[in-house]
Amino acid sequence: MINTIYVENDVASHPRVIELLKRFSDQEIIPCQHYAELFNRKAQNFRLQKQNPSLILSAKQKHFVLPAPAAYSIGGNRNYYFSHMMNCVYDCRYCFLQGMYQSANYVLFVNYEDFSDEIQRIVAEHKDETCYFFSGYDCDSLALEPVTQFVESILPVFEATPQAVLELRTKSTQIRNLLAREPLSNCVVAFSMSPDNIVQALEVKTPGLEKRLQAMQKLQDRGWSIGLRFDPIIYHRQFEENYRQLFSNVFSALNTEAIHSVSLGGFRMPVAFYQKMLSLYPDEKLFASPLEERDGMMEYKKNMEMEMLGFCEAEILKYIDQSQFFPCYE
Amino acid sequence: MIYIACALHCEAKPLIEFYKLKLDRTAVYPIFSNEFMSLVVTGMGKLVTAAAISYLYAHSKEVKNAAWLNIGIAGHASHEVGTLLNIAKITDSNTGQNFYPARLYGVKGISSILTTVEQYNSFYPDGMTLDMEAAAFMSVVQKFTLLDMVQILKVVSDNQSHSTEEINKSFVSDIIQKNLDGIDETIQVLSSRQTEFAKINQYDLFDTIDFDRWHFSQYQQKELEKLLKKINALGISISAESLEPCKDGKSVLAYLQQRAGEKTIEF
Repeated sequence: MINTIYVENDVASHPRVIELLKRFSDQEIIPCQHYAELFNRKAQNFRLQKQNPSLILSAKQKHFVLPAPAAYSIGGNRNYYFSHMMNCVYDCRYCFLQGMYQSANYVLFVNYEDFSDEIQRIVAEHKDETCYFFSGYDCDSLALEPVTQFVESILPVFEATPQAVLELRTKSTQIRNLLAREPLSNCVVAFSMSPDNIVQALEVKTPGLEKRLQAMQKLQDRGWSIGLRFDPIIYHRQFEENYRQLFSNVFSALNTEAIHSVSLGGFRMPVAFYQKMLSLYPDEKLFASPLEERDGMMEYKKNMEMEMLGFCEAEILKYIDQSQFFPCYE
Repeated sequence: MIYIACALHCEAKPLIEFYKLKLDRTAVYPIFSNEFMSLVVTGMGKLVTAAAISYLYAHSKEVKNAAWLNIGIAGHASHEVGTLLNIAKITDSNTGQNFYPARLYGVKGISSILTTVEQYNSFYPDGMTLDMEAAAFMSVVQKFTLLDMVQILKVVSDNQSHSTEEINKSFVSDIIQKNLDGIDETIQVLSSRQTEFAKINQYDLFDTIDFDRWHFSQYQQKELEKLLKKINALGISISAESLEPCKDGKSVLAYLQQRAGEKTIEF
């Protein structure tokens, strides 16, 4: 529930803002000069703010689309990401956003057309290659779709640009708009999946495993390409049993041959983010895990990580072809 | 601890009486306190407000991340005199700088945006609350606490049909008095938030360590804190008796390290 909406003065008359505010007539509306006045302030506590985040409506000025990190690939060489929002309605304890941002408020960039233009410009620049665009890096792609209607706005861009691929990364079951339209062959709806005990303990406010499975089934039945993201893998007692069960449940619920891609990665976090997350949640068991610092990242101890990922990889490859598998590790 | 700043004694008087605050005779500024609350009367204007708040913070041993509340009278073009306002945005008319107090569920008062002015006059910009202190209050307290712990409440004392000339001390005390319920509810919300925040960093396990018996170097103290946090998160219980055989700080750390490594994480 969003109780307060801050509106940048420069977007106050933007048609999308006017339309959105019509749907939030009971909320407190506060004008602001620039989202950074609120979002980037020091002396804020992410954990406290997460109890009741506000929405900030803004316009992004630059860096609409950025090159994706090296391991972020589902088969392409030209990988980009973009974020129409900063922050997520969910509260996953392992999420890097709580280590990266000062504020838990949501920032929505309403100038969707600038994202579209930039995507089209990049595609035109690399005519002979398939460009992959990842949405859902700084926010969940679908969770706030009833409010933002961003996906509804961006899909026609990819419909008109079949040589580009869009990934919508999500844990959400907000799929009504996707089911209501014809599926796009160049759009992958990629669901992050964890065993139910991890969902319950660490993926706060997210739909349960069963509901995600149902959403995936509906989308696959409708003809959408589905991706599976087992990332981050979380170590715990009965790890093998729980992940084996997860893979069994997920792959038996789907047509495995039609799965676009499956990726796998361990828990990893830049050290500075980890330190901040630990100070926010010193009582969190996840951060008491057997982690070590490697190349500026906090990760599971090397041997343990390799065992975990090796086990999961072997299990996953019982269900899918190697060509569908994209590990996020070397 | 909840810190309150009022510009005038007549604004503070109903609060002093309601919360049974006692004058702190050791203080240079007029500070009134009880066990949970400290109120300073700052005087009017930004400069004196900044000075008085800084003094209150230093005088009360610099309690970090406490709740801070500015309560006072303000002008507004259209709101009725006596209306309680919950300030959502403050602009310093001199610098143009904006401040945004936290939006907390359960806080009373009508949402309003405010401009802090240097000189008060009879011009009331449309929809705007006017005062002479809030921007200085925000500017200073954000150095002492989290912005998520700061609130500003104003009671409308003047508007286009009730000028500042009609304001006197008893009138001010009276309109604050009439809003004490709303002010108290806000203080309860801030108090809960403060308690919740304090609990995050509370470790009972520190009580099991006998710092008189075992010496810890600075490095070891940091290691000890890390280990105790980890043990706390893992839900491992450590009794004072189990530490009894430890001869020095190093062996305490070794024991705790061993205990922390014993438990596999369960979710």
